[in-house]
Amino acid sequence: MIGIHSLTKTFKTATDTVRAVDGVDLQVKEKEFFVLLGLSGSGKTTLLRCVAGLEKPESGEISLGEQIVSSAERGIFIPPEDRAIGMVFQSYAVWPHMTVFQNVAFPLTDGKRRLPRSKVQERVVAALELVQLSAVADRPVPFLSGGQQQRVALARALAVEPRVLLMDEPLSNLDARLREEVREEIRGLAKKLGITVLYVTHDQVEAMALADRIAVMSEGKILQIGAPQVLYHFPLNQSVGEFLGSMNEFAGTVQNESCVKTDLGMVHCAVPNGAPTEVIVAIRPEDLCLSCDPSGSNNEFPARLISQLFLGDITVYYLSANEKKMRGKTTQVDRQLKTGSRVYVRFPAEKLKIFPR
Amino acid sequence: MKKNISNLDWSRLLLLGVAGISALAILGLLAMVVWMSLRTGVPGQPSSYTLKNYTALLNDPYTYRVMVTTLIFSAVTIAVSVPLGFVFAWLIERTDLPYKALAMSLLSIGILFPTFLKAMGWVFLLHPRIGVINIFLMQLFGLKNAPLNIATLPGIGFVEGLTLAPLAYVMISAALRGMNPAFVEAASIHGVSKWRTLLRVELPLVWPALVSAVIWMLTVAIAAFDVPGVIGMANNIFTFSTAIYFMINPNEGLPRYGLSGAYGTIMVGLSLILMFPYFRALKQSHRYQIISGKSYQSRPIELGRWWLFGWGLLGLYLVLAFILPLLAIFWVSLLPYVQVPSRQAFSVASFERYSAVVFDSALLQAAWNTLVLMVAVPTLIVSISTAISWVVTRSRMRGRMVLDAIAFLPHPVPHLLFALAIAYVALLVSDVVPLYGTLFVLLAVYVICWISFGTRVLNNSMVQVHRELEEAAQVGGVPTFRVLWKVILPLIRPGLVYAWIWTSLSAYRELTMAVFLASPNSQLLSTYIWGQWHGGGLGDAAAIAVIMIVIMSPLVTSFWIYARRQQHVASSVS
Repeated sequence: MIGIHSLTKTFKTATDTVRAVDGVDLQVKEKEFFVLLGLSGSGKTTLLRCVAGLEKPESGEISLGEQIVSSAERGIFIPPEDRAIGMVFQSYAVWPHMTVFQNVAFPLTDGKRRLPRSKVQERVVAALELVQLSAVADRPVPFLSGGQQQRVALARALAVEPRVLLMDEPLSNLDARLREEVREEIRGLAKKLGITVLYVTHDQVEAMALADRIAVMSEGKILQIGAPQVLYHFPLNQSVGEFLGSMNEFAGTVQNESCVKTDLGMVHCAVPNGAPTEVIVAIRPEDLCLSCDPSGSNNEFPARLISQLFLGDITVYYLSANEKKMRGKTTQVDRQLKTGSRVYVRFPAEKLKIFPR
Repeated sequence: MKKNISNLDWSRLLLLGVAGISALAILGLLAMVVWMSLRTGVPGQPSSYTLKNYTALLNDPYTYRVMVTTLIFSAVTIAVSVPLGFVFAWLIERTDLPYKALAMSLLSIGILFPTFLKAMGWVFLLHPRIGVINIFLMQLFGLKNAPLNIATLPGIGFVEGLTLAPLAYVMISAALRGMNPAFVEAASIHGVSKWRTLLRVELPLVWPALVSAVIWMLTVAIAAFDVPGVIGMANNIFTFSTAIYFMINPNEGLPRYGLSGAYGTIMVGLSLILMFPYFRALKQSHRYQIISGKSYQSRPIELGRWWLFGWGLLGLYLVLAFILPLLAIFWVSLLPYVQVPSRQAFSVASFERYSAVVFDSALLQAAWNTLVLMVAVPTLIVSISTAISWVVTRSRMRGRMVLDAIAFLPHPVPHLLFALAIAYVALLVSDVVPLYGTLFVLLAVYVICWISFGTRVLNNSMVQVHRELEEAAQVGGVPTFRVLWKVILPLIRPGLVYAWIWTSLSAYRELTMAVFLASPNSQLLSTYIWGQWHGGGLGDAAAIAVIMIVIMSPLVTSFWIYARRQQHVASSVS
């Protein structure tokens, strides 16, 4: 549905030029919920704005469906008003001088895809119904709460029946609890209506909760594309792995295809083909196994339990093994584990990740 | 390449066109001032390029006299206006002075009060021959000569200073308001007394803003025409601006456009040079301002019984700047000839002049012309400024900051030079298009000069409209012009209305540009009074002045109520 080919967009600052988007290739499928994930400054918003037509790329091509909407090489640039898309902005951008109804109706009455009056009424009512705002249709938007304004923005984007819905950090201005609620709604609506969504966020939890597929971006480039589970469990490199969740990391040297020497000792794991000699062995905190007594299996190391943090649903353990700090995380409380006592840490071989150093 | 052309957006083109043409008009008129300084003879007459005007100017002792006069005049003006402005600003922004809102309103409205009327009032008060106070003092003490004389260089400087005090107040109070009260609070917490804090913390911090205010006052004083024109000219005191007027309207002989162009070029250069230190000081003062999200106000300094002193000072100012001159004008308008209030004088006082004056067809024509300008000028300014401000703040065109700078140019450059240049242009083309002396020329120059004001106000308004509000409409398929019309303009409506009314009232009170361009066919109320004044009809001039003020008062008041409600309090004057 959305095709992006070797897209580049640079910005000139006072001192130098920044490649905000640097040769990106991307395919978003029909009806897919696709999330661009990255830190601020990684180029994800710029990429989204290029798709919207709010930025003009220097090179590369963007297509929506069959139509090429932007191609620097062929001199094609369709302005945003002709792209038939919907967009939800970070600031919501609901027009403060209009009511809820007028906000949703405005693109339909004044836009390029104008509809007859009766049809407008029908569409707006339906869109407001979708986001459960029918009751406040005649209220001026400044009187709404942040969450409600967010829904107005969503209704407005949906009312034009866009072929693609673009969302730029739409939840970042909401408080944590509301964010979770609206997140579910957005995902549910997108799936119910069967629309293609391109969604930008810097929050990995949000990305995993929403996405069919995620593209992790950094410095204008895409590091990895894949389903949330794939990215979480099988990151291609250290950055992607760290971005999706915390990891315990150990520098090591590959001895053979099933053995890496680290500061802790010899770690047994499946070293991928083509891995360099100098590597990083990583494991997520929830994958660590802790016990008071040694079990005698592979990859087990003695450690000291420095402190434990009870967080309700989980407990976090801070460990030290051979001068190396580690974090463990578990949902089961083991009362035998005492702070300051000696414990045994085991790395299940299938949970270990090997990255080049 | 071809695709790009077909993608051109006509509404964008229109906005760019309007902005571009206005910018060219501003630059063109400035260039015209320089060009005319390099020519001799009457406009349109064949002439070669020459530096004769400059050599004449440099070899004439009169030039140096004018220069010194202008400098002294400016110095007195600043010495009067800046301390007054600072004290008022401090009282209103930093202390618990009661009825602050009233003080603020009176001072800000003061900016709109027609300056030339104030000057007339002071002539009626302190002229050595006809000044009411002088006559009174002479009678009282049996003096042979008038003890006070307003028609001197310090005198006109004093009147101009009184006039500009509200402007100084607005500029300085903006600086005080922008300053973080935490600096002052930190001083008081660490045991520094209020007065010491004022001298050692507050004053050094507002110093750059004060310097920029002084420089701005200097450019305004150099350009000032009303007071030197009304009081000084008849008494042979010439500043740059009145000297130029006198060259174009000499008592005998031909107008000397070439020489006035040379004077004008010097004035343009001077005002532009002054902008360098002005912006440097301004930048420095912005560095001292800490803009925090929360605007919290420091605890005001308690004046205690000193509030009486504060209001006493304000009251004295208001009496000197408005009430006395107004009363003097009103008094003179009632009498057949100027005399001191006495039983005999009251017995001959009457409204006879008014009935005679009101039915004068020339005055009615002047009133009509003024009204036309009061509607047409602000409407054009707001439209053009919208286009310019849109290009400057909303588009991402290269060179938009240059456009902004050009639109700002008429602010520091004396407006009379634009009038001079457009008069010259009108004369040049008078064989082809009979523009000279028409209302149209006045309209054009008012609009060109006040675009700077309009764009300041609208730039400010437009940057406050979040870019995503516009982009949301764009993505929703709404074309550029409709976005402007239905999203941006409604959101900046307070700014639009403010700019419209302010420029409309400015058109009502404007004298400087008008006297350069008004002909018998295009008289305005202000030029009509000017004509009466210099033609010896002092009483008639006074009567029309009173009518002018009576008409203006409700307009200004309603404007003020609107501006206060929109929180737009004269913030864009500087």
